[in-house]
Amino acid sequence: MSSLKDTGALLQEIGIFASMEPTRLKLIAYVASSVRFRAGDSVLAAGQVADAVLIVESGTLERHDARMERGAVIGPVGILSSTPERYETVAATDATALRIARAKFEELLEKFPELRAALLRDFALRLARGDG
Amino acid sequence: MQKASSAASSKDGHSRPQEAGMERRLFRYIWQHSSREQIFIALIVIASIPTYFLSLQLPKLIINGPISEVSHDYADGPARFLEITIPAIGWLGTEAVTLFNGVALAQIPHLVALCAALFVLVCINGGFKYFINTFKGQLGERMLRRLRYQLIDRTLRFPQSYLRRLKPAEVSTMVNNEVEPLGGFIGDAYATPLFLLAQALTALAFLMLQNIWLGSIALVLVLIQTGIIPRLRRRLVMLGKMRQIAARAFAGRVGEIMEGAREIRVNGAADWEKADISDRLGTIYGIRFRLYRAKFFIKFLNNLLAQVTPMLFYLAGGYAVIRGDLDIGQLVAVIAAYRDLPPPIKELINWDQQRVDVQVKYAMIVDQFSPPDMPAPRDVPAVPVPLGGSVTITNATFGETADEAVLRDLTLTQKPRGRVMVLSDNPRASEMLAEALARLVPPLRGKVEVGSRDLTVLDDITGGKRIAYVGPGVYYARSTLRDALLYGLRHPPAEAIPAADDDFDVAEARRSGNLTLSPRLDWLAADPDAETLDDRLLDILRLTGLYEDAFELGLSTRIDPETRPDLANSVVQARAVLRFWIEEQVHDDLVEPFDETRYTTEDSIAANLVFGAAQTESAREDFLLTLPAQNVLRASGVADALIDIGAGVAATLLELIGAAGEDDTILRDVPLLDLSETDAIAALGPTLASWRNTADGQAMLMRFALRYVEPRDRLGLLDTAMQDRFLAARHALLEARREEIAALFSLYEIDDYTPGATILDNILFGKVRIEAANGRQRIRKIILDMLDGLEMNDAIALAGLSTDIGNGGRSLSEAQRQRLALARALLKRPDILVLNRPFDVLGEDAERALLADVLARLDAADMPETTVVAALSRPALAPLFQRVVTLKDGILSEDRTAPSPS
Repeated sequence: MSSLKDTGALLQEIGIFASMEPTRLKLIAYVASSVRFRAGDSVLAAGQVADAVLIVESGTLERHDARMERGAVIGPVGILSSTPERYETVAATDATALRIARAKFEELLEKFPELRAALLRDFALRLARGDG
Repeated sequence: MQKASSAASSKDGHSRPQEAGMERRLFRYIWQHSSREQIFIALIVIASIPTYFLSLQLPKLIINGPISEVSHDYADGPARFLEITIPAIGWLGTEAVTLFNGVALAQIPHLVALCAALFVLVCINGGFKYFINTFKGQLGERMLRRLRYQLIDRTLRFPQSYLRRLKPAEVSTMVNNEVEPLGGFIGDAYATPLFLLAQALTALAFLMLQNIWLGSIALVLVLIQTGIIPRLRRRLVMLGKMRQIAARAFAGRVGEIMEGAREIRVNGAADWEKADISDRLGTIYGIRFRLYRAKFFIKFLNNLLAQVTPMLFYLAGGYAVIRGDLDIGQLVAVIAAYRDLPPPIKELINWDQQRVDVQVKYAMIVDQFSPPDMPAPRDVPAVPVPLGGSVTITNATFGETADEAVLRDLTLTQKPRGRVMVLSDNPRASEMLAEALARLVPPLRGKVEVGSRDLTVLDDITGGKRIAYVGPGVYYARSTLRDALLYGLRHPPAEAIPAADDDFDVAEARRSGNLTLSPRLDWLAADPDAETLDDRLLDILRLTGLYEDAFELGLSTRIDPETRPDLANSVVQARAVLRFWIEEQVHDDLVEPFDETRYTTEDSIAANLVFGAAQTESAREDFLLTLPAQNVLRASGVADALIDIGAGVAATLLELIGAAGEDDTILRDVPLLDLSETDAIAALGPTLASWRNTADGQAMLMRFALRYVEPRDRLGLLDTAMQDRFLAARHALLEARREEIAALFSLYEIDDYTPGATILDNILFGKVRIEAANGRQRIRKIILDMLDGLEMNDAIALAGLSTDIGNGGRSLSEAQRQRLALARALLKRPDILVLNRPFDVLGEDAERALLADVLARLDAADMPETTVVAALSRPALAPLFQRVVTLKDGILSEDRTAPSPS
């Protein structure tokens, strides 16, 4: 089990959250919840629209041929575009992650313009680099 | 002029008021709907005049009679009280006739009798005023009710194109706030000027009768007052408006200067800006100065008139008294009557001003609610007649305006039972076709018919009940899930209730031209499935993929085992089965069972101390903060621990509140914080040290601690040693106050249903591990799969239907909302089901599965005659349909019918 402090530290490592004030990060850490997966659990089924943003905290998740470890963010693209996932995401090892429910995430975006801007920059960078 | 609203009574007895167009002139509108009441009140006003006149007359009699003995010398004998005489009228040649000889009274009794009579008259006058005012208020309220109802009624008939242009918030303020002053005025519209005029004229007539010259002076002064003052006031209003505009512009300029301060400095433009500001200030000064002049001139004039008149009366009246043309009592009465004259005149002027204001406002509102192509209301049948026959579209053109037609000259026929898919390159084209079939937009040209009935003139009941439409982004009013499902089934109750006419509510509704049907009647009685509604609901929920969602909601509801013994029994039976299954089959720690000898980490400290379920979380907190409970906690040595944990929680919460800022909606789901408490928290002050020293502060800290759940809140405030201490406190509490706790809460007993706990907690007899990913979904699946035999799943799903779906249905996901719309449409057993890209939010596979299920069901015996017309986005779904119509470049480009499978 990870405490709120660890969660705040995790968020600080992540590009889209890094520029935010520590107290706001704590707020985000608090509205999020902590979830654990057993190796082999299905995290997000193919064909489903993500219902939450997941941030990997420990362990490894796997999607198609990509491996995602601490700091990886899953879901914002699917949530903002309402497109179903193309591939299933599974837990490759026992893993823990931070989960921000879809409605909460949308609310955070509305409330914190800096988060919106950071996310937009992140999307743009990925587009420029040519990865989805 | 149009006809007044005709309350068209339909066969089933309730009146359904309708209105062709709305009267633009306020006074005509008021007269149309309340002429009887207005005449009645006018009669009352007229009836009140004689007593009013007499109350003016009496002071004169008192002064001239018993007090100064001018009109009667008591030395000659007693005076006659209540003598009624018709005076001699010279020019008719009649003589004085005495009708009643009166009562003979000496001086003092006469004084008393006259004063008593004055008192009675004052009471009667007051009574009239009271009655008239109440009646006016009632009249105004009724008209307001009618007006609001009519506005909503019209809104419901607005063409879609007009609705799109309206801002919901504006319409709602218009209906709600802006008509409010109209209501106040409507009661006053006719009665007030009449009443005031009658009062003024009575006073004036009285003056004239006493002395024609004094009366004339009063008349001239009144004419000056009514002639000049309103004109001056109008100028005042105009100046006020100018001032407002100038002030607003000035404020804008100041803002500009502040924002552009850097530019001003680097351009050296300060003098230019100062010149502009000086000019603007000068303008405002000029307007204000004129405003003051006008304002105080009116005051001056009013005061002058008020004070000069008595002076004139003293002069002219005194002269007449000295010469013997007027007696002293008359003079006093004249001055008293004159004092009564200005108030009605002033109020009349006010009324006139209000009239101008309100008339403009009313006309503006009516214009807003009268779009150019407003459809007329149509007669509705008591029962919707099924729409048999083919769907026929003849030479129809669709679009917002003729220049921007998106679909031209479409001709199509579809026999009943058809399965038509519409594809189009421009989504707007197929969308408009779907909307036309749902009667949302009429075609610009041509016809859309079902059987021989033209959809553009079809009544709302038949159209709304026999045609179902599911579009994208369905909106829901706040209600329970069940009410949202049944929305399309509600039908005006057919049974007429004659006795209800006596009912106050119904009578009032009729007086205000409102619908007389109460929403509390049984609106589902006419439904053919009324008897087996629950079964049908379950069936449709399964078909539309909502069963599991309803079931999930049902797991969170609480039931009363007294009223649902069967369900409670099944739940208790399920416990053992489920526990065994989870232990054997699930290699994961999903559930933490309730155990009197162990601390439940997944539950709050309060729940652990009480070890019983409560209807509300705060009930446990309240109990634990009572003195006896506190004593036990202190004796067990956990009171200070609670305060320490509370301080830890509070420190975090204060940080969160600070981070959330002004708009704290994001905090509403923070389980540790009750948003209604933020004020109390603010009152306790920013430093936690001060909280510990006050009783309120300590109680607040304890509350925070009692809500704390470690795996959920993750503040690291609760270790196992601490848990053991709370467990010991639980036992101490149960020992000391078991009976009280058992009475207030439901203690967890493995063999009994726990009424205060949710159904899920009851089935599990424990808590789902918060950190287990998808723990709840997995548990749900296990219950659904494993416990089907216990026949409780349907009951749980039905219990879930009582859940609130939130504003706009926001507690549901978008996909759930769209599925719900389909479920609602199917419940109607429509003759035509129109789909307009409802399932784009679902994945393609999910949409295909859903449509396949639904179409298969429609083919079955359930709804055999239903025609489906589906405008969809995904061409790959075409194989599901018999016929595929393709629109391209605004015209029909392909119409392909699959060979019927057999």
